[in-house]
Amino acid sequence: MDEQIRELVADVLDLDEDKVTAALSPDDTEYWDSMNHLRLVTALEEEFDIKLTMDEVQSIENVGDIYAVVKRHKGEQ
Amino acid sequence: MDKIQKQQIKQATDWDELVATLREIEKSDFTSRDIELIFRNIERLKSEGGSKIAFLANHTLDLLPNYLSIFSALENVKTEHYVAPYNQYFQEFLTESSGLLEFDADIIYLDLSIPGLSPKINHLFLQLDNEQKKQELDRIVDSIQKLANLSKQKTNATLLVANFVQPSCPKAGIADFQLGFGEVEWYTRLNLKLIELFRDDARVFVVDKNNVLSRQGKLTSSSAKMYYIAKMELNEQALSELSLELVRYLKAIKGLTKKCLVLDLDNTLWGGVVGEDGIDGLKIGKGYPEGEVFYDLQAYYQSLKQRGVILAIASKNNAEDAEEVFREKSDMPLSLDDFAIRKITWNTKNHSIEEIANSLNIGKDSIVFIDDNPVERELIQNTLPEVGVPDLPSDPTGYLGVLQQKNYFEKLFITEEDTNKLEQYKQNAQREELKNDISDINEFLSGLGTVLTMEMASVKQLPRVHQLFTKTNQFNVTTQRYDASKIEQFITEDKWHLMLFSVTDNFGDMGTIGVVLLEQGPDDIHIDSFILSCRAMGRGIETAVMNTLKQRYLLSGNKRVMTAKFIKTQKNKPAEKYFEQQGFSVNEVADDNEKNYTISASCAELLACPEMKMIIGD
Repeated sequence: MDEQIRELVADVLDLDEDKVTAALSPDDTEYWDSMNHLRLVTALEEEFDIKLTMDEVQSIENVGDIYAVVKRHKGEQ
Repeated sequence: MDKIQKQQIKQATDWDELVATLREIEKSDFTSRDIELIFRNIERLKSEGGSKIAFLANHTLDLLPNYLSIFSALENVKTEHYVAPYNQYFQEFLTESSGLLEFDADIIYLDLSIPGLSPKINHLFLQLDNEQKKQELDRIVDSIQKLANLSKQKTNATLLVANFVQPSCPKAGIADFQLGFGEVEWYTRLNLKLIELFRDDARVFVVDKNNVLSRQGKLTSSSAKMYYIAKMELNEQALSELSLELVRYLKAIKGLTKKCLVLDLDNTLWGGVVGEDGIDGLKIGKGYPEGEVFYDLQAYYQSLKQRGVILAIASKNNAEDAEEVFREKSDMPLSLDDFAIRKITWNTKNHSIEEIANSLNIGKDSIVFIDDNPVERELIQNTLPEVGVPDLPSDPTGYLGVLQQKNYFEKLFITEEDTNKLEQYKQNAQREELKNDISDINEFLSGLGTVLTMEMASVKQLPRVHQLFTKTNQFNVTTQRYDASKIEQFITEDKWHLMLFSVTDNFGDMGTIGVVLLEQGPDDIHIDSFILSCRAMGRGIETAVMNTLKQRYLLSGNKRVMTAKFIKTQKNKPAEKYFEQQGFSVNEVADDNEKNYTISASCAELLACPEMKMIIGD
């Protein structure tokens, strides 16, 4: 699943996949702005058929947080 | 999009290649995860000189330019964008060298919503009195008028003003219409005011955002979460839909409107192939499914003509056969005169289209070509790529929906030359009259402007007659299911009178809606079948028809007596008392399910029925 998320993040932020690490955060790339943060959320919700809560959306600070939140929704630890 | 498509987009080396790549992708495959990638590649390859579009809003519209940019690229239109800072719509006009004024927009899209404009209306609607509601409405209209004036004074742009989205769930619930000045009424009046304000303005146009969002459904147009986090009122799906609407304006403003619609004939204007099925075998006209599909399509093409689109024909056919269809088939919205030019030959269609373009002196890029045959469409797409060729589904019931979604013929105005205004004014006057009190059913029916035409059936009407015999269940006195050869006999043999009746009224043409089959004896006449389509029931048609029969056969002295039969079925209850009501008497009850009736010339009376104009043919 991490791989699927990495591909998606790379698409939305238009990055090479190898640049997408768990530590990647908005500070590291110019395209991860507040609008693309929302687009990232929409794309994740579409891709994995989940609905993030408002708190979750606001608490995502890096790609690692995305892995965690998607897994929580899909019931995987 | 799949990986290969993404690679192609990233590797495109120029604008044309990118546009060609994008056009290969289904629009529904542009998902949220792809938008940024496509947008950035459009930005990478577009040259200077695109249409400049500025966005002013009091909610977050920052993602709209991405969608607009992509949907414009699909039309081969380049765009540049400026999104004004949130909520700064007045400042942007009033501040010297603001971003907006520096940008020098061709188009300004102003999208204000009620939460930002009027917290009172948004939250406290039920606590306001009518005067306060009116004040808020006037204040908002006044602001928009001021913004429109500023736009005209300070910029060279065309201003597009979004109207206001009516709430799906009014605060007063279903009692909203009873409030005196309810929420839906408030929004409706506000939107109406905008239409009135800018109707005659050549630089300001209202965008029907309320309707655009309704197309996909207001409840799926927004995400509450995104609204609370970012004041994003429209989700990506809604932004995509709104962009498609804005592209219509963009094309109209840039004059990219197509001028001419070239139509195929067989299976495009009517169902069937005239050379194989013959005129009688073609499916066109009201009253049966296949006929109505093509009737509606023809009516749509007719309405495009009213909008000023030139109609033309490119068909592989014998010209005489095709032209005869127009002469013989009366139940068609289009006539030969509606077409500016007709190429009905055995030449290839790319050749015909080139000839059409030449004789009309228009570019091939001003032409749209409609053909049911994918091979012909492919041919035109390959030989004349500048011609618009909509892809059609295999089932003709889907054609109209596809064509209505297209933006080929959008214009900002339809001029007097484009259309025949006189006809519209006439119809409106008639509807106004109908609005007056309708208390009495006869008065109502008399006001419909019904014209009932009765005529002897001819062989060319056989398909429709056959259908009435086989499909009508309710108002059918004997439910005899005759086959086509039998019906042909009724039409041609003197002993039988097969009469058809058709109805038109102020609202349109219902087509052939009934049939009566009479068998002549030496001094009597027998009603073998009497059939009325359910669409025409309850309008006094059955009485008017019987009056005509009485007149024609009995009161004229032609026959001494008229007889009839009713055979009960599971479904024909609506016709059960018909003959009694018309003054017939029962002379024999064969069994529970069958009754025989008679009426003599001396007893026959004409019965009262709603006013209608009668046209009796031979």
